[in-house]
Amino acid sequence: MADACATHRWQLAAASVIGPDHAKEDVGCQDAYFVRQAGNGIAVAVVSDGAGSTKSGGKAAAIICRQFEVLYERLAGLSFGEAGSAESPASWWAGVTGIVEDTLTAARESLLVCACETDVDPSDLLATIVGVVAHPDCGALTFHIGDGAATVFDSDCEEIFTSQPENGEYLNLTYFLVEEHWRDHLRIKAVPMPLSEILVMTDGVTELAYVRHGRILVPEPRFFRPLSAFLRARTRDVGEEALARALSAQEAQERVDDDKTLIWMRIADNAPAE
Amino acid sequence: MGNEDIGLEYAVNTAPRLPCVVIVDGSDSMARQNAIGALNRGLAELEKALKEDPKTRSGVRLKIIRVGGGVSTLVDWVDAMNFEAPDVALGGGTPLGEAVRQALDDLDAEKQRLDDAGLIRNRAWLFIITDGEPTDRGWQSHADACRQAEEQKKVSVFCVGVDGANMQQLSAFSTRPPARLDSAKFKEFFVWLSKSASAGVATPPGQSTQMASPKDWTTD
Repeated sequence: MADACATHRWQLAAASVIGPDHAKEDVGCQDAYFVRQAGNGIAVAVVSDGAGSTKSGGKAAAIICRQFEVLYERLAGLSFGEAGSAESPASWWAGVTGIVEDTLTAARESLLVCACETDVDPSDLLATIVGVVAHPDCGALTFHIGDGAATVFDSDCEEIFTSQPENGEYLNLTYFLVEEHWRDHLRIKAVPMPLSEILVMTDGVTELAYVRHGRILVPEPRFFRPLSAFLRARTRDVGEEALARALSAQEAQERVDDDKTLIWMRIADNAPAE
Repeated sequence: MGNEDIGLEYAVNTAPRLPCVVIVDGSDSMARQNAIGALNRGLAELEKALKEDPKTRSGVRLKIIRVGGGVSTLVDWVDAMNFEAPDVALGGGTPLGEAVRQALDDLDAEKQRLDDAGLIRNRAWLFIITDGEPTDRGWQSHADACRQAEEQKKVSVFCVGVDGANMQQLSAFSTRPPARLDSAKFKEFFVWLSKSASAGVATPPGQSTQMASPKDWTTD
């Protein structure tokens, strides 16, 4: 019905750049990401950070993101009322939570199958995941295993909620989907309306975008505000090109050796066409 | 259009700091077996190791003091990410007492600055590395002050006696017994220092750090 000529409800931009470490080792970027919005208002954004010194981490990240593409296709097929409605956000979150958990289970299965088929040790297929499913009438659901971060902002660019990295006892350790006890480290949060913007990023960017108060990350306004102001007033192409440049700038690469991936999304008002 | 920049700024490093002073020996005797050369190569290794580890890169705050003739600051307080390994020059005696006094004063001042900046800090570390013995008068009172600061948990002191160092006198500076280092193993020592600092950065303030095993470099 109205699906065919729906206007985009979200503005989106994303960039992923290889860090100096992986460039040196010639293994390619080990981050992967997926972001898309559907005509029914649903948006899915996911980043995954492959860990370890081989390419297997990056392979794991790609497998995980592909599974979320499947989740996206499923949600994109829902009608407007099914996709999200301001009347029943609680049941929306419950439904989406179930689908996200199923997707993570399926992604993990894919990792184990890949390990079997390619003779790779499953414990080499290490990747974290942080992402969001959102709808402008219901709010957002964040899901998170490991490090990286996601922050939901209001329309004044003030933080509503940040899904924090989980590092365990030492700062250089974290948790991964392929592990047996992944469910113990899955953190899911429902964030109701009103909200305006969401950012999702791997841990190559968190050091640049947040200040640390002990183990808690707090968004750095001098990072997020200009980012928001710039991206909301540009087409996606222009925004993504500038974002990639900001992530691969010399200062960024000197501060952090890791790959850097960031997704930005904002509920559109008078957005320029994509 | 075109290549407009976003104009964002990256967050300033507010990681908790581990303040760390290293006293290095540039006295005449370090010419023996080219210990000074090994020390300088070791310091280059320290720079590399600290910068490679994301924890130490943002978390270690380093100062290097030289003894040799007098006492001088070779590298003033710097975050490990910005540390550039100095070249320790050769020459002079070993006023170790005075060097330790300066180190303790510098540590106090730096702790105050970190507190004023609202940064969390771990217990400071002081490394005293010498191949000889203190040659300044009244060094014992500085050694006493150092041990006292350690007992008050203001600083953890690690004494390292290189080659033919006077271990007995070195032991006056800390309740922890001095460790013996063969100058051929400076590189291994500084790698150990960086690994231990990495554990130190992750230790909650107020608690003791489980140091890495020193077996790679000490002959004890």
